[in-house]
Amino acid sequence: MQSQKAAAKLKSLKCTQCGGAIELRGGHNVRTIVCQYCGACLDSKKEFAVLHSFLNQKRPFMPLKIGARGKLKGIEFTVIGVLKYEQCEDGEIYRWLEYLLFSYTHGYVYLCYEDGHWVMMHEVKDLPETEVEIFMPRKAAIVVRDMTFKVFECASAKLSYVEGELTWQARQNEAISYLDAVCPPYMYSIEKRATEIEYFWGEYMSTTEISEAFKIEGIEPSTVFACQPFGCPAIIKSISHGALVASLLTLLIYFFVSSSGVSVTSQALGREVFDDGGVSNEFTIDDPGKLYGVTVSAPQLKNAWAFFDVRIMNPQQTEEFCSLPIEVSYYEGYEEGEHWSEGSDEDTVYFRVPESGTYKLEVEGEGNRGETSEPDPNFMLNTVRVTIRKGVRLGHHTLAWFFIALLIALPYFGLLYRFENKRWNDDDEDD
Amino acid sequence: MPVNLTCPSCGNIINQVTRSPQIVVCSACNSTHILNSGRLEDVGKSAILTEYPSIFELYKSYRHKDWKFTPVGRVRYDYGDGFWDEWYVRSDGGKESWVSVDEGEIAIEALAHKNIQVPPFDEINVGGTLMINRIKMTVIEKNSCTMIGAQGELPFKIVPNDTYNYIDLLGPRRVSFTIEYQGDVIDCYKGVWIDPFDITKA
Repeated sequence: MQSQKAAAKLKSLKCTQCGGAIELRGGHNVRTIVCQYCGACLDSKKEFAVLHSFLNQKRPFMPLKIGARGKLKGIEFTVIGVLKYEQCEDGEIYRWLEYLLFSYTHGYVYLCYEDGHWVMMHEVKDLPETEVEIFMPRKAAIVVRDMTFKVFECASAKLSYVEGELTWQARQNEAISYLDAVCPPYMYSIEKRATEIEYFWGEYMSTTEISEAFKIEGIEPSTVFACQPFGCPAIIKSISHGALVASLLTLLIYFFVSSSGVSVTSQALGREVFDDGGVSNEFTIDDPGKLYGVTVSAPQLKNAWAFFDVRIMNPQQTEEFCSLPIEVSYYEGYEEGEHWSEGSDEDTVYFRVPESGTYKLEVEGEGNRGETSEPDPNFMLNTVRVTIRKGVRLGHHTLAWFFIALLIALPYFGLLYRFENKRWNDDDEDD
Repeated sequence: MPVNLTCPSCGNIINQVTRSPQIVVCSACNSTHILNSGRLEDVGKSAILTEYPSIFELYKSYRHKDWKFTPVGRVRYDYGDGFWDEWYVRSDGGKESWVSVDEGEIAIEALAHKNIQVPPFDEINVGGTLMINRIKMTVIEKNSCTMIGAQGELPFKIVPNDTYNYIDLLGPRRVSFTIEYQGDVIDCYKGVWIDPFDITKA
């Protein structure tokens, strides 16, 4: 993107206060140079006269050195200055570095470094589309360049270290108020000093990008940064979003297609079910292509189990079309004053018959009270109700697809939730 | 329609891109020519521009969002503390405008008012305000500049070392205006700031 016909020329001079060597790498918009040896702030527009001095400066750990050169977003930059800011909150001090980088083609950008995270920021003229104060509630929305940012942090910080070239005149312990809003991987910042307000557009840079650009050893951060994107391959993101949509669609289809059918007959059988077997009245099956359901319910079943052998017979009871085993059990009680129950006094099984016609049900039952698995010959219930429904649609396949799709989508959204929680809650805990 | 012109000084073929440039600077010998009835007339040498790495190159196409443009000329102005380049650009639709570039600060500018009625340059103070187009604008810079060189095709006659005064104004929502005082002529340009990171090669 740049026309690099001539390389930037390095100019050298001596500090007008201590005589220390100073190398100039920035452009003509550099206003001051702070000597790394004596802290003198030199005026680049007035023959490097000493404007003031930064006293007792302690050089912080700097992963990048002034003079380092690297390509970010395809643009060649040189590190020309560095600033360290400190923010005090609830007795904790948070520190970060802001490197000033220069490119002949793209001007000046800041490369911010905090806890192993890097954000490349540059000044923009884009103001928020809505009224914005420098102190706004957390997560308040700000629209810039048609993108919605959420306010991440509003705070004040002080400048605690300066070295190298700057496009402005910095002051020792100078205070700034700032607002950081995020729309990962982008960040929009407003910085307010005593005499000016500036707007910055930032983008999160991975440790790998910085390491490769400046040929330095990167330290992988252990925290989640304000504008750090959820680092998931695009293909997995697409698959997970697709799976989520698919799961919702299959669920919708399930509710649309599944049906408990229409009642054909519902009859109550008596105690004979537990003697020689009960026989229902005749009922008609007129559409053998459809699925039918037979529900056996035993409303008097309590702390007991019952097993029913339901056979579908012709009216003469000479031919058995199918035999359907149904087991029900229902237990309840009180434990530490709390009522509990398990099981159900009814169950449904499904069947098809080969042809339409008149049929009967033959129901034989056995059971026992308590947890004994052996049937009690004396066990019986006064009423057993059998209900036959026609045109049952189970939708089991649809439901299975719903769960499969959900299983595919869940890991991504689970991890995303955890990541976002870390982004926002880490700070909430500090609050 | 672009035409080929021959440099009267060195015989170099100059491919004229803009519709009616008044000035053409030969890229081979740096001679400055007035274009008169389709012929170039030599008016002398233009200062050779010191080549710094630049975001633009002459006759290469660039894109800013939906706007595709090609720089066809450049004028460099020295303002004491440094310099800036005014690139004369031609958009795809044939419209010509100016893009000013000063170390990553880039603005697209167009003439808004010719001979605008504003107070004389000496009466303007930095920090003061002016009403332009019923917008209250703040004076952020008052300076003079000197034309130190040119390249390519330009729509006006250039005079090397020509100096003029200017003021830069900033308004709400970063609307900017530049007022140029060139003798009795006071022109007002309206500018729109653009992000250099939004510019790509077309």
